[in-house]
Amino acid sequence: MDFEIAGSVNRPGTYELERGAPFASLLLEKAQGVRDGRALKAVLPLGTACPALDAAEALSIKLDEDSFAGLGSCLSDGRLVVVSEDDSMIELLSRSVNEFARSCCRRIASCREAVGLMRSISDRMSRRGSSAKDAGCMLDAAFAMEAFACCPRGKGLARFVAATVTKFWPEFAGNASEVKP
Amino acid sequence: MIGLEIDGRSVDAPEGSTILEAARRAGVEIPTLCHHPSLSPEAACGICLVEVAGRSELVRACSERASDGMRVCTETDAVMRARSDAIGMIMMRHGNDCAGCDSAGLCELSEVYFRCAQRRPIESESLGSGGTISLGPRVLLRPDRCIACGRCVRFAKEVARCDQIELDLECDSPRVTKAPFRDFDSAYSVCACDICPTGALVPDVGEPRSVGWRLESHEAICTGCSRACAVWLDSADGRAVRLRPRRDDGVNGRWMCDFGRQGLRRIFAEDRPRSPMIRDGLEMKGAGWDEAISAVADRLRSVASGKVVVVLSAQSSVEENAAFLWLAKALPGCGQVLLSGREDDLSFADGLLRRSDRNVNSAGAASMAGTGLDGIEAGCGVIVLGSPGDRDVLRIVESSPAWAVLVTSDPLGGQRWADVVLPKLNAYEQRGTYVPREDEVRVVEGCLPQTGETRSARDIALAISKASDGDFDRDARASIDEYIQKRSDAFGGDDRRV
Repeated sequence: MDFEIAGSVNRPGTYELERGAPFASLLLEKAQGVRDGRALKAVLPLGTACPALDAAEALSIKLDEDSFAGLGSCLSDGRLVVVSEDDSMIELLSRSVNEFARSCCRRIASCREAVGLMRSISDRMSRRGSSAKDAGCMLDAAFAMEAFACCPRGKGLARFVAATVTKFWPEFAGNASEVKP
Repeated sequence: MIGLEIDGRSVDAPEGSTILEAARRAGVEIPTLCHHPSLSPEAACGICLVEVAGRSELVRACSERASDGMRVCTETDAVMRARSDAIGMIMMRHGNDCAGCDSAGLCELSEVYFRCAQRRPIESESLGSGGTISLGPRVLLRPDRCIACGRCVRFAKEVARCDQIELDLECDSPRVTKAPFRDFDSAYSVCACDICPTGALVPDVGEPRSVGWRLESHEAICTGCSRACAVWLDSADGRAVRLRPRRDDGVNGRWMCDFGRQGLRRIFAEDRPRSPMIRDGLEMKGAGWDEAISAVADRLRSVASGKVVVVLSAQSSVEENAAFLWLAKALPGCGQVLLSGREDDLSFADGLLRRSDRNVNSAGAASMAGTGLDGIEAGCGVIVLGSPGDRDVLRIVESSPAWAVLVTSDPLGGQRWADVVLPKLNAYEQRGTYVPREDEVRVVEGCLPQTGETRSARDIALAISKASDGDFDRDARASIDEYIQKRSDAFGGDDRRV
């Protein structure tokens, strides 16, 4: 099966591996590790359309559908984006939400307002820094949007936002000691 | 028919109906916001989400077709939580100026919020007042209150058949707006204000402002044309405030035209006659009832026998016409009974509700006096009921009457052709039967107190008869009531009380 690996890696590209091969071999052998020897932070299967994996999950996962589904994510056609420890998850989230807001049909009132809310919170976070209150609001909006969105793209984004905020809670809450809701 | 189960209850519903329709048949109330039963589903608000067994996600009851054997739960925790989130999302962008809102006390959004919200909105932006934008000659928009549910846009497209308004979803706060180079001037534009779930669309037809809980609603009909739409007459402190459509599927559905609404201003105009008037030269001068009635009696005695014409009105009720028909029979000098009314107006009819016949009691009055004013005899004394149309006034004036008495509830509008004007109660101040067409009978109960010194047509007819006849029959009072009763019973009386 062909896997496409992109993002913060030394040799991005399309590589052929056995289905079920460990992700670590794709990252370390084929793509020659994270760029500039940084640590792995996250892997985004299918871009921003399904939940992201954190470093621990990614390094132990096998490249097959069942393993990804077991973590609530999805392997789909095998495109993976690697995020390094230098990349900001807040910035990443803000960009994906803004991108979605631009292409959103805006017809469903509650979905439209949820996207608007996520956008204003993520913009505020990237401008003024993170806070636990904002992160909590973001989670609320994502859960609400998952119920209202009619299109798979909207539902996918809602799951992506919910998983990202939950898995990288310390970064979004601004203080590692805060307890996750 | 298909069978499904809603909240443990077995429900039968016609094939093709939605879950919402099936639930309402069974008496299960699912809250909705963007949905309107007379319009196509929009599925925009997410308030009507329900759980269907075997489906991993919540579904929208307003647009999802019910199927045989379906099991639906309308109040599970997941549903209540989703509804609460949905209303929270919608409230975020809604300017919360409830204290000054035109829909205070009548707001559907507030009702849904009370019912569904489990907590405060996730985050609310404080929105300043967005000012007021004119969408058309009779509709104003308060953009900060608009939740972009799309009801008004669907109404315009599907019912009023115009594309004068649309949803602007691209801007920061989505809302309804005028279509480019268009004005929302449809003849039914104010209906969009009726179906707006918030106070975003405000009618601009000269209604006095008043809060919802001070209004009293009375069942009535519109007297603007022979459709006789079923309406609610809202009053505050005995004063008419507005007309709004009342549901009657056989007549007007849930709508009425803007002209009908504006009719209320004419009916309760400040310059409607409130006390009798007698002409003195070119001036109309106020007079007491005794003086006015004796002036009429003097004039009745001044003409030869058979030289009095009584003109009935296609705009007055069966009872009022019956009273004056009784008067015509009681007066020894009455030679002719004729009929007046507004002229047919083909440009008024629109194939939706408005009819070219502008008289609300056409068939009822026609059964009492068959002929119009074409054959009016010259030089007679004329007693006119109601407000004749311009052409009828011209015919009366051209017949150079010896004198004319006008019994009306409408403003004179500068007309001075009548020698005596007697003010009568209007359609909403007394009980009346109206028969716009052969098979359509409407009965309206009087719901407002009388204005000034106005009297009912029956009392006026009785007084004229009594004053003109020296040996007044004491049984006349019973006789007129019996006659009116007989005439209104001829139309089935109370069979159709609307």
